[in-house]
Amino acid sequence: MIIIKKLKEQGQKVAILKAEVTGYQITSISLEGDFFLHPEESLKEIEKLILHYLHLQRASAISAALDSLIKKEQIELIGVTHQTIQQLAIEVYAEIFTPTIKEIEEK
Amino acid sequence: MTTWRMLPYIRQDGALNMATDEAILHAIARGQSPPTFRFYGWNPSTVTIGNFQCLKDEVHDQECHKRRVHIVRRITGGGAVYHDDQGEITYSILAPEGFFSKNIIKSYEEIISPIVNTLQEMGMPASFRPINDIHVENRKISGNAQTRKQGVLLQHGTILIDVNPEVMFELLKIDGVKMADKYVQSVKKVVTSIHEHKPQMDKEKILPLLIAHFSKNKDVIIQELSSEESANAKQLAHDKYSQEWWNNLRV
Repeated sequence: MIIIKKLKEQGQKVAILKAEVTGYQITSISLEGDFFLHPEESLKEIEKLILHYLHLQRASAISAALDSLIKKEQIELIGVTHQTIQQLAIEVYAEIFTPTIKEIEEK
Repeated sequence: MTTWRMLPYIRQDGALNMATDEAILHAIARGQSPPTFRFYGWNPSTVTIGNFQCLKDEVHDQECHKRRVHIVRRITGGGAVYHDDQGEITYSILAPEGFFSKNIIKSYEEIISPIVNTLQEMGMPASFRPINDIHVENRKISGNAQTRKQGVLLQHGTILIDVNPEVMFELLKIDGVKMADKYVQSVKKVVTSIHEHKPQMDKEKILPLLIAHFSKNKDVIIQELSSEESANAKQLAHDKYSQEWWNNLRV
C-alpha cells in the first residue's frame, strides 16, 4: 500500500510524502514536490531521516532532526520547511496507526 | 573583466536542451569553458518536470505522446513547465558559483534582473517575486530554477511570450481542477505573457533586448559550443535525458 500526503503552505511550494507500507511496516519513503534543495543529492539523507524517525514512531521529532542535519551538512531547503515535512510524516503515521472507524466498530 | 560566452539562439528537442546545459556545466567545472549564457527554444514543444517531481503525478503522458510533446526531467528543482515551441524564450546561465551571491534567493534575484530590466524597458511593470519568479501586476511571467554542482551555478528559466492555458490543461495535471474552463480562468488570473501587454512584440524584437541586458557590464563573445561540449551534450541527451530511468526517477 502507498500512503500519499500532500501539503502546500502559503507562499511555499508543494511537498508530497509517499510511504510504501506493508502491514504496519513502512518499507520506503519518498519526498517529492516542486521545491528546491541544494545539493539535490541530499534528498536521500532527508528521506532516510524521515524513515528512521517513523520507524522509531517519533514523527514529531523530525523537524528538530532535520534542522540538525541541514546545519551539519550545509543543506539548503527552499520552498518547504522542516515543519511541513514533519507534518506530512505525522499524517502518514496517523494513517498507518490510527484504526479506521470500521476496525473500531468490528471490535 | 571576465569574458562571457553567448551561444547563438537555437531550437532543439527537450533532451538536447537539458543535455546542453549539463555539458556546459561540466566544461566550466573542468576549466575548459568560460561562463556562458544562452537563449533557446523547444522543437518540438516539451514538458519539463523538476528534479523532485514524479512524472506520472504531474503530466498527462499519454496526451503528450498523442500531441508529440516530449517530456524531460530537469536537474533543477521546481515545478512542471510546458514549453511551447512558439510561446516562450528560455535562457540558461552558467558560471562558477563565486560569480553570484551565496544566498540562493539573492542569486535568483541577481540573475533574473536583466529579464526584469528588459520587461521594464518594454513598458511592463515587472518585478522579482521570491523565491524564483518574475511577476507583472501580480501575475507570473517568468519561472526560474537553479542548481549548483561541481562549483558551477546553472540557472535556467522561461520568459512567456504567449500562454495557451487550454493546452496546459490537457498536458499538466493540476490538483483539484477537473474542468477545463475553470482551469483556463484560474491560469489567466495567475499567469501573464508579453503578448498580453505588448502584442506587437515578437521573439525577433524581444531577443535583442534580452541579449543587451544580459550583456551589460560583461565582456561577451558569441561562440558555439566546443566540439567536446557538443559531443557530450549529444551523449547525455541519448544516455540520460531521453531515457525512462532518468525521466521516471521518482515514481
